[in-house]
Amino acid sequence: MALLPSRLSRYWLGLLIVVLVYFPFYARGLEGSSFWLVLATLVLIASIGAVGLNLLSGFAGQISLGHAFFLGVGAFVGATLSTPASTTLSGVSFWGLGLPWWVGVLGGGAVAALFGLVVGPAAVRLRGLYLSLVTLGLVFFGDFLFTAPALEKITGAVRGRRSAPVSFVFPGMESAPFIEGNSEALYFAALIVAVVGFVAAKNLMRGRVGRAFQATRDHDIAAEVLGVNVTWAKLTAFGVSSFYAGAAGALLGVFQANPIGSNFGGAAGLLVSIQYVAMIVIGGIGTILGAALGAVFVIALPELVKFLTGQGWLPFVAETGGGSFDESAFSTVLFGLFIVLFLLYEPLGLYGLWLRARNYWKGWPFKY
Amino acid sequence: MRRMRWLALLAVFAMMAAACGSDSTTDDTQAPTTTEATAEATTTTEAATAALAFDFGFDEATGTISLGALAAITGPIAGIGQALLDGHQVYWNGVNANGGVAGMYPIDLVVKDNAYNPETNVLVYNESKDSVLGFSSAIGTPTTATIYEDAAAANILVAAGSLASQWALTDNVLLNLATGTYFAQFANSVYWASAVADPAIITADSVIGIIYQADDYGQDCLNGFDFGLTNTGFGRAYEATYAASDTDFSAQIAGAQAAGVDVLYVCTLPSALAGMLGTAAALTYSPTVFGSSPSYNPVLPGALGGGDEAAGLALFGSFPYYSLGAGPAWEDDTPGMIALRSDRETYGADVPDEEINAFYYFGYAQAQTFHAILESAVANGDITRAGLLAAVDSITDLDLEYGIGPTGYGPTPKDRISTNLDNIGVPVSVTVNVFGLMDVTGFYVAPYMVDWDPAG
Amino acid sequence: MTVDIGAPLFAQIQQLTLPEEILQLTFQGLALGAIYALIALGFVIVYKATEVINFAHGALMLLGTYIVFSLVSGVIPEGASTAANQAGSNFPSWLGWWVDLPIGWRFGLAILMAAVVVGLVGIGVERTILRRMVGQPVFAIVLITLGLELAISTSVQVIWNPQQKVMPSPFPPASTLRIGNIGMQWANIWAITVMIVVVLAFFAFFKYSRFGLAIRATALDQEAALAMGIKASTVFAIAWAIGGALAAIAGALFVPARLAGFITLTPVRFSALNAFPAAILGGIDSPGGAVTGGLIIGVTQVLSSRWLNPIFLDLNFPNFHQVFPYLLMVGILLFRPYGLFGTVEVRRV
Repeated sequence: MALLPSRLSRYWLGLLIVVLVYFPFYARGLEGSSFWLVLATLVLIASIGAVGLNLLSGFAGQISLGHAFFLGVGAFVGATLSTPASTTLSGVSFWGLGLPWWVGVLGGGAVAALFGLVVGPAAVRLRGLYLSLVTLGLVFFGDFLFTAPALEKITGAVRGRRSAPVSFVFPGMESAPFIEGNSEALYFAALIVAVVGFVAAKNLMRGRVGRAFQATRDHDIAAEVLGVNVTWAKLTAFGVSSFYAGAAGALLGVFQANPIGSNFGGAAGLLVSIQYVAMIVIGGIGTILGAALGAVFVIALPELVKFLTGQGWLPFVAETGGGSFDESAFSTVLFGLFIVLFLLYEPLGLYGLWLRARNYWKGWPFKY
Repeated sequence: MRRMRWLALLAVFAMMAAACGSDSTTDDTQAPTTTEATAEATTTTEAATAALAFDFGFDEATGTISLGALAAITGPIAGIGQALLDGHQVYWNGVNANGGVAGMYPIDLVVKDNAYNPETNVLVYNESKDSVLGFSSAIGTPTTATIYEDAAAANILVAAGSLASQWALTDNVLLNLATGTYFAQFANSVYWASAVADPAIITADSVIGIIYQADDYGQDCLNGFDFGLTNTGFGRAYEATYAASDTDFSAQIAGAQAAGVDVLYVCTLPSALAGMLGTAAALTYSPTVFGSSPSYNPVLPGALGGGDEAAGLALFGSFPYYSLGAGPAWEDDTPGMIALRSDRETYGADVPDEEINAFYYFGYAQAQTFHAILESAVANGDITRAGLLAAVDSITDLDLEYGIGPTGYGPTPKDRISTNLDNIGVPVSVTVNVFGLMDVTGFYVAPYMVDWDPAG
Repeated sequence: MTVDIGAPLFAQIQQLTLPEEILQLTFQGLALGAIYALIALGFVIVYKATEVINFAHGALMLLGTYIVFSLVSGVIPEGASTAANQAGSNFPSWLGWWVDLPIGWRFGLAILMAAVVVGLVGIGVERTILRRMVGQPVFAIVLITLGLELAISTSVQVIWNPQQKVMPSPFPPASTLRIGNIGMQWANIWAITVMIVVVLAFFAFFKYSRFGLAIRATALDQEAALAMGIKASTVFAIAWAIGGALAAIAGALFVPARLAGFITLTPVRFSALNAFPAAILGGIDSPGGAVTGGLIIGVTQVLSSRWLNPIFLDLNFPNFHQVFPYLLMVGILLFRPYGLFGTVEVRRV
């Protein structure tokens, strides 16, 4: 099937891209403008990582809880590549090459992919739950690695290191065209990487590689018998998904301005990994669009709750700081319950809902 | 079944609509503004605001100044964050009851929860930054690190809820004048233990070791410890770390014992301290222990004694245990502490007793300092962001009246860090002292810390 | 000013010989491992019977901890307000006799009650939520338990108020039994004892009772068991009840024994994470393996922390003991991909 099978889907994709490109300019006029822009940027970055995880877990069926580790690798490698060498507040001098932001993104992805290839052989030997718990070990290994003073020049150890903002100032120009401020620059960088990443992922899954992944997921012994090189498929799955995670991590490092190792490893890292698993499952496992939908849901839900509380629709919930059961606690509980209820009634996730809606409108006014 | 699916679909679309179309942000008000005061003041406010230069976070019509507070109300340090926020809010409530800054400009505190998470902090910072003049409280070192550059580019003043010495090197992030830093606590105490205490605790025969938590908090302690040792000519015989989620400390304590350590420094948290001291007692190992300020908690003796506070206190005394950087005592009769207690009665009556601790004092003093900066800016007729930053440099001789002497900021990093706020206390019963500590020294500073420049 | 700080407890720094130190640290490791064993056992029994990876185990532990806290200290959580939960017992007067019981009795009875309550919560979760997820992809089920973990642990935090709570403990951390030069804290002795008792009771149940037989049969072959008249739904419910009860016991023991009574959220919630390598090491569907794995992980963690950490610390890599359990797990999985005692999967093409 072609990448964009019908004229209608091409039209919708074009419209989506136009909307996304126009969004920052529209957001300049909104009250609290930087908030919406920053939120949208975070959603885009998260969706890149989610697509990567979906390739590994959704298409190739390899359960991984170690996504945070690859994000961290990408963050620090990306920061080392694209931030000028500096001495920061605590007196530590960091390595930094000051290269353009996209070198950081690609480099972060590449190094993360290398780590993914190292983990890949474990997937060949282990299955299911055993594999997922080995990937859990990655998260703790990440904590060990990222906070070690031995790697201070790259990771900043316990204090973290600076990750320079994205700059679109091309050589020969005085300032970036159309773009005002670092937040907008990061948004566009994330948008470019997201679009490229999504198209690449969709294309990949359409071809030989995608079919090999799915065969591995569904019946790997049968696939081997039929001539699919399952070992190669699993290694590729880890490599590609780690690349995506590394690229997303590089952008995430810029977003956090001062990425710190303890946020990508240990208990905090596990929460990040879980967040990404939530994105792909809620979005729709094994679908590319699902990753994006899931990212929107997971990132935007707390903000939705705060919005509803602010409008007074949830009177039993106090505002931030006004008591134990305030919007933050409520949104966390709600988030947990949402996941549970969603999966109970729609195991295919948001993508399933989307399919349902689409089929309804396709067949309207007929029922089926 | 069908209905549930449509409901879920509706929820999704509602969310997308909300995310795309809304142009109203929630404005979380906390501090009550007394209507009488503002009614009286409107005429004077209008006249005064005509002369006052402002840019962000100021409502000309009501004369209200908006300040941001990034607090950790949920998440791993929720207990600390809530106590800090309580002290902070109580102070501003008191200011508003008197009409606000200069008696004319009430404060509206916009509280956001960052859950001690860097990404959340970026989001809530961006949510409030355009509507506030500055941030009078921003908790956490890793969280503040995510925003300080952006804040610097926008000339936003941030009062950090952090004891890390690195903030003194910035232009727009302030340390709390009423509390010291972990670096100073450890560096100063080595001097006290070796040169001031009588009999000396650290002597030429002493074997000194340190156990610290492996994060930026522990790192600051370690740096101060090493600095103090270098300047007093002693050596470090033992070093061990532990992780924040650890619950067993036998290895670290046994290692210290095997190395013959008789003066042990710890940079930890109360539950870990309890584990360490309990293990040490089991191993019949009782070095002299110096602990950083957050290591101690007034309920520790009760916990260690199995409900018997006296037994727990005897255990602490048997090492003995010294708590560094204890700060003023709740019961002190300095004007500052008297005001703090009376404000608690008036505006903080619903704050539970458990939340009255050193972090409450931290938040209160933080607001107090920010208030002084605002007063100075108003007196200059300039409450723009740049004006606020300029006002900081002029706060050089501020007496917060806690008996710690005049303190302040200034133009250089050396000026912006307090090196003389350290005192040392030993555990006593909470019936004697609300913070559970009794001072054995006054506030002091080591000679090599007097001219310490954090810029190196 | 002079303050009487008391006389030193011990005259000099006594040092242990190497064999003594190894014995001492092994004991400490066994105490740590006992808690891991209980956590892993609860986790494994749920997996063995229902094939569900229960990531909500840590939240159930937390719930058990707080229930025991309330019962032992006599503080009823007054709901979501900052003025709630003041120090001191606020039980109604007709329950005054309870607060007057000696703390040891209160603690023991409180643990039993908490085990029952959390066991019922486990059954509730199984009945309402997991029952409907039969046949769904394993990912969805995993995520549901993760969602439950978030919902339960945050709700618990809110109901009991996040302020630092201290649970009155029947065994103060410093009270010690000394044999020769080895000091054993009573808290640790109790942890090991309770673990032994619970494990023995569990295995007796598993081996000799009808329900235990039913669980083993269903785990072996669900259809055949159904054909023999064993209802899978009953088996699932029992497994979750046991899992919940074990979680509550582990959580209730964890805080006094390991945290000196300080109820600190992160270590409790995430201690279940440390038990995962234990469960994997022993074989994810072997209860005996879970107990063995827990003890092994506990002992190796302490011993590696004592002797391997300094080596890595010199290389500027602190806290090696955090990675070590996972390295051990990976190492064993290389040779035995199904753990020490796990059943080897027979996969059909």
